[in-house]
Order: sequence, then C-alpha cells, then structure tokens
Amino acid sequence: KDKKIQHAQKRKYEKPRIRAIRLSADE
Amino acid sequence: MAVSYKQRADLVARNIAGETIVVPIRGKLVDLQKIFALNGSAEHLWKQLESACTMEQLCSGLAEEFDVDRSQAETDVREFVEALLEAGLVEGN
Repeated sequence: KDKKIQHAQKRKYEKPRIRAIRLSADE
Repeated sequence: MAVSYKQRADLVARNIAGETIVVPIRGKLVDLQKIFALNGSAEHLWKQLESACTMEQLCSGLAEEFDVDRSQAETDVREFVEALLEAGLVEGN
C-alpha cells in the first residue's frame, strides 16, 4: 500500500527537453 | 571514474511564467541568440546540475521525482545531457 501511495505522489513524466529561443533583430 | 556534469558558471536561469529560461552571459554581455527554455523534467535535472552530477545521479533524481522507469530515465537523461553539452550550457569533467 505504501508503495502505491509513493508512486501516486510522483509527478507526471515528460521527456526532458531544451528549446532554443531565437530572437529576431527587432526583438 | 564516471564523468560528472555541472552547469557552466556564465549562465543565468530564471523561472518566467512557469518555464525556466536560461541565458548565457559572455563577458558582461547577454547573448541574446542563445536563450533556452526548459520543460518541467528538464528543470528538475537543471537544478541537480547546480552541483557536479554523474549520469547515474541524474537518473536517480529523475526517477525519484517523476513516474518513469529506470531504463527510460537513463535514455532520456543521456539525450538531454548531450543536448546541454551541444548548447554549451554544461561542462563535463
């Protein structure tokens, strides 16, 4: 039961991603 | 001995509207062409990288916090660290 509770407390997983933000000259 | 990775010192990270934004500072200048955004799990790994971490430690930290199996965590952490190295945001030693 403890294991189930511990499992439920974990955050929903999403693959770790890094996104480059490119600014235009005007920005 | 396992390679450990750490955030580069010449970076500033801020949480803006729920998203972590990383901006390199080269010299005294902000490099506006190299701004990066991290999602939730990436932010978790990024915080771990404030101090030197091995792949093993990063995987453990990710698996403790998120609902992910170990093998998936290992694959994703490896890809993520490679992306960070390519972007020049971390250094290995």
